[in-house]
Amino acid sequence: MKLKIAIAGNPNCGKSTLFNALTGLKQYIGNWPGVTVEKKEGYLKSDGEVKVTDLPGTYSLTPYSLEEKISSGYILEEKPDVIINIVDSTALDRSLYLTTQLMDLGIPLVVALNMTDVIKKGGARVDAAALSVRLGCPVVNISALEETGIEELITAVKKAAGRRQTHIDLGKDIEETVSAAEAAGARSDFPRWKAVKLLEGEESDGAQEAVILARQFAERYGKDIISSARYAFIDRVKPEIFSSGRDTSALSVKIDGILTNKWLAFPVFAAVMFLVYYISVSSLGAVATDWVNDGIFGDGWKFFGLSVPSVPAVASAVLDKINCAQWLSSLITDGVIAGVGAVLGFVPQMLILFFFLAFLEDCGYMARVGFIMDKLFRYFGLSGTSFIPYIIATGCGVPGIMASRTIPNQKERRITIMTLTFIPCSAKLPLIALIAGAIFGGAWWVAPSAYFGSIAAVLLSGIMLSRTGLFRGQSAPFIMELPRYQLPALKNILSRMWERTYSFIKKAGTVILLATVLIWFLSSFKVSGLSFVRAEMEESLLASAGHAVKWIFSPLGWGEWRKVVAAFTGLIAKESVVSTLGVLYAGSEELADGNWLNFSSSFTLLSGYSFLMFNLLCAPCFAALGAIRREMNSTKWFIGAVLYQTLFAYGASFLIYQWGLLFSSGTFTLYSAAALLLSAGVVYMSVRKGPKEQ
Amino acid sequence: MGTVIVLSLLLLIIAAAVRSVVKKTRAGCSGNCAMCGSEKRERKK
Repeated sequence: MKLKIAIAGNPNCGKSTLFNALTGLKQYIGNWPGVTVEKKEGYLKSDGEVKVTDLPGTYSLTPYSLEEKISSGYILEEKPDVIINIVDSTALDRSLYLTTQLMDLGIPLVVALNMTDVIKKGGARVDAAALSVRLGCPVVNISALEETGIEELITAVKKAAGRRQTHIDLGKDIEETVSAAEAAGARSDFPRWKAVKLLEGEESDGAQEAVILARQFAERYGKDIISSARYAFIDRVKPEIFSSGRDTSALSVKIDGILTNKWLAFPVFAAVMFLVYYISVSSLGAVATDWVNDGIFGDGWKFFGLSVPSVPAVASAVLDKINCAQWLSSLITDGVIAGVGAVLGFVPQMLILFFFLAFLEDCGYMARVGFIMDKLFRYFGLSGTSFIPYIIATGCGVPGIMASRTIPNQKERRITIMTLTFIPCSAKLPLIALIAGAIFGGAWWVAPSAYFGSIAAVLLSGIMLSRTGLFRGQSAPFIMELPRYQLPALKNILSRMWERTYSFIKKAGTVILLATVLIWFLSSFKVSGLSFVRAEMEESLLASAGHAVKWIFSPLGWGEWRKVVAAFTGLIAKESVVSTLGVLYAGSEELADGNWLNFSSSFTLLSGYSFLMFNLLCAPCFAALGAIRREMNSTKWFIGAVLYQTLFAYGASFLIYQWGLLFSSGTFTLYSAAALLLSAGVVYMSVRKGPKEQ
Repeated sequence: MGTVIVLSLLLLIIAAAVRSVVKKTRAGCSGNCAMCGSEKRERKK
């Protein structure tokens, strides 16, 4: 039987977790509201005929934010055969409010009572059978996380298809007016829902008689009487279906006393993120990565006393043995293996970073960070609402940019989109690890400074941009429901860690592989007449292009063509910066035997850090650029955003290099004067009065 | 003969990589994370 099912519910009630359990897909889930901002589709694991749509969370069918509009828009336009309404047992009142609205649509409804296992721990209980009687629809106890009750839910959904859903009784006066408005012509496939919306003053499109009725109703009772009637219904039902237990929120409150404390919150956040980056990139992660780089892609390794050759050594031997042409051997060893291997070498650090980030997200701490950051962000023209997209951007900028839809304030949303890709995403990790390990000898502060430096760039941009006339207006108030603290399930964390790492490995075998082949070709050939001929790297096409633009980057300390080309390839994917360096330095003294440790001779500490900051802050990869274009929905704003990111990155790297040079050598040059002027400009832009205060 | 075999294999891999990149580019996915698990992503109309 072909069926269209929609999963609807409040934010952070477990919709995506249920969607994954039903479809077997691995949709991203997070322990905070607003993770899903687009509807996601899949098919039932056990029945390919049943299409399941996961909708973004919404508190009501009166949408306020962009993602709430997607949810209500889907239900009203696509008219699913059955709606699975997830009700959070720990927050019955507000969950059931949405239920009463969904009932007005008349679409068959099945209530999935989630998180009953959580309230059971405190001795509380929800009577599913009694609730089913009161709502006139099936109610199934489930645990989306533990995947219990899923089969019963599927059976209930299939049975419910085709049935007509009843609605709650809003009271005699209201019901009479609703019926009259329906009869007068509410012009909708959902006449009752439309009539109610007319009475609530949220719709004005209807037959004239219905509109007049709605106006008279609003004058007599006010606009809130219908929502009051819904809550009155919930208040009547709740004692019949819910028996309370002891309060289980005491531990969460105690933990919040420390983690969100006025004085301790920021030091704790700084310490947590410092530890995450230090352990992932500098200490434990560095040891594992060194082993992979030196063993698998370097000199080979020992296995129970046996010498195991490295991948490049094996590949070279095989290619020689089968008499492969020299140019093809070079393409495979100096191009593909050097480039892709350079990126894959950082997988151990990825695994550790993803493990920690998944833990922090699942346990409920990351949601608190948004709350903590609200006060600080507000001073810089943003608010805590913006921090959720920034958290998501630590995985990837694209969903982070899309998550900016949860920001209702247009000014804040634009600033967030423009600065979001400053946050180091997983693709930038290999570069951070390379600079921290090879140039700074594994210094403890380099990797954490990349994260905190990017937050500083966001804040500085926020204050500068919000004080220009283009970003007028106050930040929106930030209201967020904090999730409970929970001990994350190891299975979920490991699964998330693997999913992200696997994506990284897959990307190395696709985008990065193609980029390395292209870089190898351009760095091994030159044009002679009308044909390509093999050439020394210094005479290659790529070298010519690099030499033509390298002067632009000389004031940043790394005006050498290979580094400049590497920075440009970051537009394809940020990992390409490392893979390009791997290809262009393959076989050179700096990268002898594939060992990045010799790479330190190609940078000074200052130029290395300047190179790192430029690549972290400059225009992101094409995929993220596409997302910026879509979400800005304006070519002018898109070009403005990319120009701003690139100029900001250039300015930041210029200041780092020139101030560093001035302090380390004591020589004052024209560039030092320019750095002085630029710094003064940044200070002025940050402290001047905004358009509202003038 | 060795060259032909290696070149054929490499071209196959490149073709598969191009196919994957085109697919992901059309879907607006960076392929950078595990956040796009659904089979089909529909843009906001």
